[in-house]
Amino acid sequence: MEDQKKQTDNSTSPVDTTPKVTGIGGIFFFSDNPKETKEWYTKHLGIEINDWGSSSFESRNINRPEEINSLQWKPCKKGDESFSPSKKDFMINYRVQNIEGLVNKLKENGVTILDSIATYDGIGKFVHIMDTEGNKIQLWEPVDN
Amino acid sequence: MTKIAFIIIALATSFCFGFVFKATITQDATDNTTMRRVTGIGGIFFKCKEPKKVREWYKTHLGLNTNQYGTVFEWRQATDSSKKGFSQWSPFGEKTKYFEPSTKEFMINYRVDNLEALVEELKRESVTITDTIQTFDYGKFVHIMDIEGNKIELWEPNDIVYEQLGKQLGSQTTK
Repeated sequence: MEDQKKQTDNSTSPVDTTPKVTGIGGIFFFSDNPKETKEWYTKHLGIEINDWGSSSFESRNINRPEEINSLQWKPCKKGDESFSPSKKDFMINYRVQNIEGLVNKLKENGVTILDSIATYDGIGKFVHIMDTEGNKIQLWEPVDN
Repeated sequence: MTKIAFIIIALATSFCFGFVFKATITQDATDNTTMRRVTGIGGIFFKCKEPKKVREWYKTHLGLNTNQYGTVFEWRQATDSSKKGFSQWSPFGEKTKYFEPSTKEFMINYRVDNLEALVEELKRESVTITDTIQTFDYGKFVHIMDIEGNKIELWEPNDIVYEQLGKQLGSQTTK
């Protein structure tokens, strides 16, 4: 009986695999002096910088409250190559689900995809695309704790 | 004699405890470096040639549930999973004055715990504050400048009212 109930619960809440963005995973912006800028944000706004030179804002997943999600925030040296070919002074990272499905959909839609999906152990999968106005977008399917 | 010594030790001990206790309280109350300042990202705004087209592009290709303002990302607070949190995402027109005096292409909104106390502290620290605190049902706002000319929006949110407003608009969040 108990097993049956568990099975029913599982069947009523299937994992959503719709390929889409689910949140903001990061905000990166150009800075003339990232070190000084980070120090300013730490001193005045209490934003602590981690070992990777960024700050990690934590939240919990709306559908899975036990899961901690992080958002990376980082001032980058002006002209940082990772923003290229975008000419903007900021770049946004979006959290996604089903990154393979999303990339396939974007290819079908004719969206510019800059690289192929790269996987990093314990962090997740990344791919970069361009939006309709030349903003480079980082898509991230995270491995969350 | 033993009794007197015991009383002296007891008094001294309680005095020391009291002193340590008082020092701890005083530190909490006055040491502003321990004040919780920014708690999260409340929004990201960026300039576009055609905001409407951009909103549609993100809806079509990336699944953002956009309305006329952009979208709202919905999440739960790390320190209390029963409380929701929201981050506003909005493309702005190129000629918007909302980012002024910043000349950058983006503006970040940061969520804070206690805006009044933070503004007082920032004033003491000689940070440039570009307006005065504006209060709405969904929270309090103020704008400041960072060290490199980025305008920053600080928001002490009322997440419950903010969620209700979204529902009244008939908008769906992105999550």
